[in-house]
Amino acid sequence: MHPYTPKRQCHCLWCLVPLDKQDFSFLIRHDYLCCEHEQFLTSKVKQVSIKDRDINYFFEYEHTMASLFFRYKEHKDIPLCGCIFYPHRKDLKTIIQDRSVVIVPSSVTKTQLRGFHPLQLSLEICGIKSLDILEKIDNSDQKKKGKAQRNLTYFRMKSSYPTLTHEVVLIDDVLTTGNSLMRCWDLLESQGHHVIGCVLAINSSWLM
Amino acid sequence: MSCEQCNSNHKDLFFIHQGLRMCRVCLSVATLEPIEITCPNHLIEDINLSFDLTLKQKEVSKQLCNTYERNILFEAVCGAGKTECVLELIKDRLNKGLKVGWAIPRRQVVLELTSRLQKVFPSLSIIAVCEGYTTQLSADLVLFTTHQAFRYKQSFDVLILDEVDAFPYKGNHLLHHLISQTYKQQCIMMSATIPSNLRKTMTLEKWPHITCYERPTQIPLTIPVHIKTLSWIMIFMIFKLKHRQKKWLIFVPSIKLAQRYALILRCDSLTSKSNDKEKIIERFSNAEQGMLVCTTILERGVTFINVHVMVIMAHHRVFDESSLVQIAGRVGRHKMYPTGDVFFISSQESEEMNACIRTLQNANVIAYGV
Repeated sequence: MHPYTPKRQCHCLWCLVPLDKQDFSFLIRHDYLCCEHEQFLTSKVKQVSIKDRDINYFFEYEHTMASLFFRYKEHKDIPLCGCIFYPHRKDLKTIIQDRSVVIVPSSVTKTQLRGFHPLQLSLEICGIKSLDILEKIDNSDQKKKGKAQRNLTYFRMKSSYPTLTHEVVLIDDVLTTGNSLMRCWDLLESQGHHVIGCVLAINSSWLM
Repeated sequence: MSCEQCNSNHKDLFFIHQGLRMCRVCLSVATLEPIEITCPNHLIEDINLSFDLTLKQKEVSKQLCNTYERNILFEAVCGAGKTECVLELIKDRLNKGLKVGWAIPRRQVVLELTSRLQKVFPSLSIIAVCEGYTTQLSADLVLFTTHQAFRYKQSFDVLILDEVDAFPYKGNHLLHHLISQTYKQQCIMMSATIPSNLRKTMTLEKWPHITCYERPTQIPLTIPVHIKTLSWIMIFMIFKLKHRQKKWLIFVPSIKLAQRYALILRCDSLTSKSNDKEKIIERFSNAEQGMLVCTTILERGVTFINVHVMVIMAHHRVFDESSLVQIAGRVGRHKMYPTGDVFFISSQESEEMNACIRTLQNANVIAYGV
């Protein structure tokens, strides 16, 4: 078992409040989350079409999700990896089946600074082996860029990588402008693969 | 083994990263080098107040100044002039070369109090340290939100802890621990509404308890009037009030309701999510009549002249006894306008409302025998 795989515990993995599940234990699916966050993480997989491509997603990206990602990535609260894809691992595995899983790359500098790869780790604890075979040509911080500058971010395949299945699942945590995901999608398609997109949370502007 | 910073000790709250044991409770509170506070390079001679303290205030001020125990509980009714009463203590301790800090749970109050204290001590460098104000961290007198306490480990000799019962400090063990780490010699805890657990600790540990139940206006506190009514009648009543030549602060239990009421009443609203909070407060302060719909963000630490107060859905769990006492205390704070109206409007009674009314009546009995 992975050391960060959520297990039965006395405090909510998300908000750290002590868990008292005696009264409502029959309603609780996960024994590591409080009632509030348990409810929040019971979303089912949905689909949205962006630029004629169907993307699977679980949540609308709003402030609760944003604060979760902020704590996980910026404060390096690593055990939170159990709140990302783990509660949806069954749905995720249904999407993946026996296809190769490719992740949208993040900045190398940031990953080194953090000392862990947030997306890869959150998949790893679900028992999903992901391939980090794409790389950004420009490694600067996404947040510091404007929309126009983000359009200029390019990706390429790493110099060596294992053989992929014909159908690949491309995974990212949050889809905001959609640029990174779309460019990676184009790149994989140009290599002759059929791509299935999947993200955990999606910006509300795509859902209007 | 418990966390050195926040005292958490449950195994669920720790994890190992790169060989280091990390505490999840205080992970966001970065471990920083403690800040070295500066000392004033001159003696403070005068306190620049535009009015004289009352006899009671002078007495309390002297009592505070001459008490050197580790913890002091200072209880004073809203509008009794708690700030003015501790000025002498600040002057005395700074003149003795001690470092003084002032912690408050609310950001808004930190900002307002900093500008007030700067006028009182013009020769001192006084700074506010809170969200949005963290570039300068050291000065002769530092006012900071309780969330910023992690920066000041053992930095102060004397700490004034204002509004001990306010959110988010109330019931937050991490903040309690961080605050206890900031001072070396003395902590003066003050509020108009001292929580019962603190009272118990005070009795057990025999802390000095200094009280002031009189306002400088020498007029008893306004006792709230409970109006039991339905919500549509409530809105009609507020509409009628709008046409009276008065200034009303309307408290509602949630941000959503504040926005909705402000839209209906065509007035400003102030919540933790409002932009330009300072401007909204200034606009309302300068107005002679009008309305401001707000959440409990304005329940304490702010003074408006000639204001009247209404609490909508006063039975809501957001409005506990201390919150309602503080809200009622916004009225009659200026000597020119020592009275006003306080209405609690709700469809049902609550124990908290009754407790608030009882507390205010008791304070009046102790101070004035009425």
